[in-house]
Amino acid sequence: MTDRGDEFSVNVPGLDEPTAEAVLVGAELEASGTWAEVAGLLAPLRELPRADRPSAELLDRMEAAATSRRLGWPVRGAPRSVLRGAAALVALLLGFSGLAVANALPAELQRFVARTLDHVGISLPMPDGRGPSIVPRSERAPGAAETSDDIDGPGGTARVAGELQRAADASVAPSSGTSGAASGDPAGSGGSRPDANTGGPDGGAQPDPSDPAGNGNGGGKPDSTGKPAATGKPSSTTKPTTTKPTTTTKGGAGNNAGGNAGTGNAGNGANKSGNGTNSGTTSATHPSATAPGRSVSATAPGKTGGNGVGAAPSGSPAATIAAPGNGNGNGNGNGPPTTKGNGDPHPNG
Amino acid sequence: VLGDDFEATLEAARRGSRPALATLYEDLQPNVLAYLRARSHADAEDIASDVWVSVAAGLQRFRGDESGFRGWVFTIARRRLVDARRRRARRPADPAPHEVFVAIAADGDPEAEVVARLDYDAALAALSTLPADQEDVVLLRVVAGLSVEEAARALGKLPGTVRVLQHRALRRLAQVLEEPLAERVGDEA
Repeated sequence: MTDRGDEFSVNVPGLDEPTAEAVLVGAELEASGTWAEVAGLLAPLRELPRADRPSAELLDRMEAAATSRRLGWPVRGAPRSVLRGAAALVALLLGFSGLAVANALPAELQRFVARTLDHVGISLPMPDGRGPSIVPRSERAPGAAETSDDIDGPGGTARVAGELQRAADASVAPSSGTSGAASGDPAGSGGSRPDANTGGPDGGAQPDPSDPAGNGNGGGKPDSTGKPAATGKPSSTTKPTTTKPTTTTKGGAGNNAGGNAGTGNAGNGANKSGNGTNSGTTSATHPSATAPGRSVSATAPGKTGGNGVGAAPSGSPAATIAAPGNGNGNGNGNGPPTTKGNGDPHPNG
Repeated sequence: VLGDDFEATLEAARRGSRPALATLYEDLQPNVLAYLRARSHADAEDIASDVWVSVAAGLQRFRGDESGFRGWVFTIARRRLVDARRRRARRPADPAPHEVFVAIAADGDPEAEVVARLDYDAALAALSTLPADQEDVVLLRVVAGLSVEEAARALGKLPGTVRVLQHRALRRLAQVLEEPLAERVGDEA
């Protein structure tokens, strides 16, 4: 019997199971030949070395090992079960976290998890499909809604609407009213834009002669002293730069003292430049000056300030504008430059 | 082989009984030492000590009969052998083989000792031509005296796989024995 030629380069006799077992265990082989030689080759390996009794030191180590092992884990198999439990717990947490991040949890559970983790600064998507906010809490703007749930929650929409309305009030000139602090430059109606960053009004909007509408806007330099301008030159035709006045006063520009009071945009009350709060009041005694003065205190931090709005008296000599406050309002008057009013403005600061 | 006394001895050894631990040691130490010497001449005695400490430490975990115990002990022996080789790779050393001191201290026939040594080395040299898994099977079957099932447990393989490996190993050893003759015949021709 020969071996397969592809495995061995030299032909060797076949090997059956009993013969192989006999060669390995050193049993007597019936036939001599190749396998007897193999058995003889392996025979020296069967001679076991002489083994002495274990030394006292080795027995001490063995005894300590056996004893400490028994005392260390009183419950047999505990280490493996503990490891399995820990692995299962980790896998569960990872899976749950993945589902939460993917917004794949049930709606109520997703909302609860998102709300809970938001307290520790981890933002997860809400079940309504909003994406996760990656803005850390520390970088959020003050007063900003912290989570979408703040908006979605009861009254959240109303709160947001209120915020938006206040922001609009702070940045857009009301239709009428008087800012007592509007002590604009007589050279022109106010209309400087409150600077959202510095709080200081961006004075210096120059009159635009090309505007035939005569909407005065700009040029008014706020006077922090609250000192009203006694006289006003005719308003130039200016182009509104930031806010579009909604009231067109009939009074001539020249008669609108105090920079044609107009709309005075007070600076940001809470800004660093310390523009004063527009706390002036208006007493418009003339019937034509029907729009009550409206003074808005700029209290929103970091936002555009309140708007001191001055109603341009429509030619009424009795129109009196009291501007006792120390505002940084900017005159922002509207009126045809050619119209002359009859009023004799006496703004009283 | 302890036979019927194995269970009682094992239980006593689990409680830390020194005589029971010594009995287990004396029963298997010759095979363990022979196996370790065949795989690592240098520090077989030290590795054997580590093996028995590990065996004592794992007695609480062990479940099985005497045959399973033999396979389990050689599983530990193989692991400690791998550990020793790693240590030696990190910190190379060349201690004198245990056989050197045995030969020096031997009071028998020096010629017989040398012949036996040559035969032993020849057998190991023949085994070194085998692939590692086949060499392991032959050593466990011949030197350690394990059965197919015990060797399969020690190697973490199926008994059928062990039979295949030992079959191939024996055929390759036969080829090694035949090759010099074939080469001589080829040279004469």
